Amino acid sequence: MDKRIAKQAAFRAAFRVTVPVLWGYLAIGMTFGCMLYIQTGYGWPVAMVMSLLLYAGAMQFLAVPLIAQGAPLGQIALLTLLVNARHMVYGLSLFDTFGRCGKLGKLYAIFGLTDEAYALHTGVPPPPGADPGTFTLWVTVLCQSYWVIGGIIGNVIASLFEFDPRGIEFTLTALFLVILHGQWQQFRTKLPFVVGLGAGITAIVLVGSGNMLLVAVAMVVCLMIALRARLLATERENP
Amino acid sequence: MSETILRGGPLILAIGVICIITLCTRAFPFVFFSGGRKPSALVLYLGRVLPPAIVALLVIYSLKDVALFSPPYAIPEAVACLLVLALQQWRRNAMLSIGLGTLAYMAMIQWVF
Repeated sequence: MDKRIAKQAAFRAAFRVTVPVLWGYLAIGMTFGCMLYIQTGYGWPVAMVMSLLLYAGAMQFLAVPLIAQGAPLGQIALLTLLVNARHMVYGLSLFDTFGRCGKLGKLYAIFGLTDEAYALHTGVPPPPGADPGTFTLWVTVLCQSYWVIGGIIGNVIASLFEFDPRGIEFTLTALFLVILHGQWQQFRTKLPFVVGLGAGITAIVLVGSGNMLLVAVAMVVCLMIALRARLLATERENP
Repeated sequence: MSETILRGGPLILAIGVICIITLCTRAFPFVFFSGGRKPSALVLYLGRVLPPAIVALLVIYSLKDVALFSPPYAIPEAVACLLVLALQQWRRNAMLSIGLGTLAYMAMIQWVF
């Protein structure tokens, strides 16, 4: 009986802490669903499947033009790896938190470890009286359900209403700029930004816009490894 | 709609690849470091500094087909980018910045330029 109460308390607490994500994910999910319809013509089932299986914010957005332009699989794979590289360190602080979720639950919590879920898992501890494992799982389930529902709604709206979509692809640029703005505040050294912008422009000049991505990504990785000593030194000098 | 859109098998393959690679990046520390083993300094370094560099690159990527040397000389893109950054600096509201920035861009290329 106590266990049931602790699980219900976990659900209520999880819902409360995910409300800010609810509005954010509904809005971004809707934009994704809308862009998917406009750029590829795919309806809500594809939007739903993508939101269920990909569930990766920026990468899911980026998948739309890649699908629309028929990008080669290798390019899609490499881009996914790099855009999601930040997730490779997220888990380091969550061994205990996810360890309480059971085997399958842990796998799902790892699958659903988006930027926002990470912020909640590390920033909001389960309240007293709530079952911690259940709380962590509900946070993950609720966040993804907002995302999926947003994607479906946005896709259906785009398919119902006729409007001139020219320029809507700027959403992707705007999304990246907003992420960039946040990272700019976080990072003392601005070297990574210079490297990313410089590599992008250089690659367009060298090989043209059609093939720029792989070349630019290779430049970014090599340059960041080459500049490692310098970047760490800069960070030490300006604490 | 162009002819290049991925359909059927290639579409499923693309979604599958993104799904599995995303899961791998998220599962990476749980698979390799949960036993108390420490990740190498290079892995930690790249996990930390690659994201800002890649996002900066993605801004350029998303604008790669903008014509700089013919009218309207990328003016709508430049104005909309500055608007997004200014709104974000002012209100820190991602929805507002993305929404107004995109609407302003659409208005510019549909009605002004």
